[in-house]
Amino acid sequence: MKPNFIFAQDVKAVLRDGTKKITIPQNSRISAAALDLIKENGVELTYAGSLNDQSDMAVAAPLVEQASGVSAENIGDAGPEVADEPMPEEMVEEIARRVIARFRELKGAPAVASPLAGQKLEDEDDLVICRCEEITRKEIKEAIRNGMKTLNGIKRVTRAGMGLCQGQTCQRLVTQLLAGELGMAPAQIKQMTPRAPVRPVALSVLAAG
Amino acid sequence: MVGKADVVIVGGGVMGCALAYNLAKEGLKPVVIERSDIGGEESGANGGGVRQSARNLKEMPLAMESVRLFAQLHEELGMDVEYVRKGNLRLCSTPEDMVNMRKSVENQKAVGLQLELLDRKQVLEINPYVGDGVIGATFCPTDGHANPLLVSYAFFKKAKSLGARFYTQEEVKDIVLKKGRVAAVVTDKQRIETDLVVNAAGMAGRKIANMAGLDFPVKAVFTEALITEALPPLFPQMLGQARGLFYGRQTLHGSFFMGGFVGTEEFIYRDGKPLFNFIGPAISRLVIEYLPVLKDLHVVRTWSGIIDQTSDSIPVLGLTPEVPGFVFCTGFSGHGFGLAPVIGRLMCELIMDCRVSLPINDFCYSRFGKGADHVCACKGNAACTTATALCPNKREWLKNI
Ligand SMILES: Cc1cc2nc3c(=O)[nH]c(=O)nc-3n(C[C@H](O)[C@H](O)[C@H](O)COP(=O)(O)OP(=O)(O)OC[C@H]3O[C@@H](n4cnc5c(N)ncnc54)[C@H](O)[C@@H]3O)c2cc1C
Repeated sequence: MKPNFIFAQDVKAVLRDGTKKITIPQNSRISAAALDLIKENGVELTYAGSLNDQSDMAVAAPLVEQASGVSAENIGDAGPEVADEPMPEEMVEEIARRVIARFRELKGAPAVASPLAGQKLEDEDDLVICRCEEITRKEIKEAIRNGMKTLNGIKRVTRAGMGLCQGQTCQRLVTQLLAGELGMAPAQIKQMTPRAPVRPVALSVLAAG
Repeated sequence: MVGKADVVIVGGGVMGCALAYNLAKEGLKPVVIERSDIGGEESGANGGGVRQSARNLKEMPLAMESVRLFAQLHEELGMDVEYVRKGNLRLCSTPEDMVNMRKSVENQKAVGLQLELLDRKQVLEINPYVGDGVIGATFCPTDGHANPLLVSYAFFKKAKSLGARFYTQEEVKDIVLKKGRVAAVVTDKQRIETDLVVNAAGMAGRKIANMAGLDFPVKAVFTEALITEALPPLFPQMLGQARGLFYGRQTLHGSFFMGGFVGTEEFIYRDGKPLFNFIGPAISRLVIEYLPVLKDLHVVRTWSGIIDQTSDSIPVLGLTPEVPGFVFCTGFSGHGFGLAPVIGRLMCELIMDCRVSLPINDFCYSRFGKGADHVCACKGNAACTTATALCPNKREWLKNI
């Protein structure tokens, strides 16, 4: 069965029309950006299917990835950052897998309906912010409270933004966290120093350059 | 706002943090002013090599002690800094390399370092991944590496918990002298009255010295480094090349750090910042030649760093009678990371007791006034200063503590 995708634009739509409710059909994949919006705005989720269903891909979850060396999220994060445009299917699947697995981990065995209704982002300290390096919100907040007041500083001590995607996915989230902690607007936070080669390239390719 | 401080350290690199930790442990309340982030400059860019081999012989006693201290850091600072002591291989690929290394091994063994020259077969026993061109190497089993990002951070965190105060995103703009001695430090945000200022500003060390009317010969050398994606552990040693062409290691995270140099530095930086990155391809070619297994690995990031290279490639440490209260702790010439724990301790001893447990006279500021290869006459760097510089300060602190 072809999965159904939930993107940031879908979430924005329910925010615009004020319902703040989203029904997630069975076998759905939620993009990372959509998930952020859902959490930030306390959007109420209703699952049409059951997460307890063992056939649900969420159960397969992330452990399988580790054996293969390059983790599946890494592949996802190396992909395009703009989640509003559909990403290649496999990438979205992998991200969604991780996201759904996280939900379950955090919430225990989920209820059939609305397991996350009204849940505030503040409570989600175990949430993985940098997927390439699996750095949680808690680790990032700790670094900020220990005195790291820039994205570069946070990156150095936590590794958030040092993985294969080089912060393409997490930079926005870390910016929000930092802005929140410092009481600043995200726009006032200086970006991470971009480092070549932007997209991973084999040593043998670089050597030819 | 601080108002008054026992001692102000300019620079929150690994040196500033290590010193702040040692001073705080002794009960002082040092203030560290850092214009960017903790470890935001050289200390956050380096290769993490903790080595004694291939050092200037004058640095050897310090390097040996530092290796001992590195082993205790985890426990002492309460944080794993990923220290690995599994040796350093300095790879040779030409007969000249071997000749040079043979000489260098003799010199280093003479000052007590455990070091041997290996042939290709012996190298392969230690690291089976080296390329066909490697004909031998020096091996120092007590060398190793650590994670530089964590070392500065660990010193910083511990120092802070012991009462050191850190001000980041704040720049030292001036040093005020009164009757020729240090009286205050002025930043872009505040003025701090102090008897003592430590110049731990890395590449900006010359500028800070200038603020107190002092100067020393140092230039910026441009270096570049890259990091690859992660692999399961392949080899634990630090690697170098006999001519210093490249160096690197596999981090505990699994990625490979590789660094290299070029000689055209004058043309590629401005205001202490490189204009562009371009050594990456050169490093890559060397890595493939010396470690062919890595050739298909992806490079995820490259960056550049500036090395504060003094005219004789050794640091400037200690006091000077010219400006009492001004302490040098800079000019590490590209190999300071491995020395940080011992430097932090020695500078603290100097500040607290006017006496150091290992001689640092070879590194005194006055060497520059006496021509290139002079042998410094000051005894442990204290003789030139004890009378004038420190003791009055010390009495002052003892009142405060
Ligand atoms: C690519 C590279 C690889 C290296 N590899 C190794 C290695 O493998 N092994 C090894 O032992 N060494 C290595 N080194 C050298 C090592 O990194 C340095 O010797 C060491 O980090 C120096 O530390 P520091 O604290 O003196 O300088 P820095 O880390 O540069 O700290 C100085 C700090 O002072 C701050 N500062 C400057 N001016 C002011 C001001 N006016 N006000 C406030 N703050 C100011 C700066 O922002 C900076 O953070 C390498 C260096 C580079 C660049």
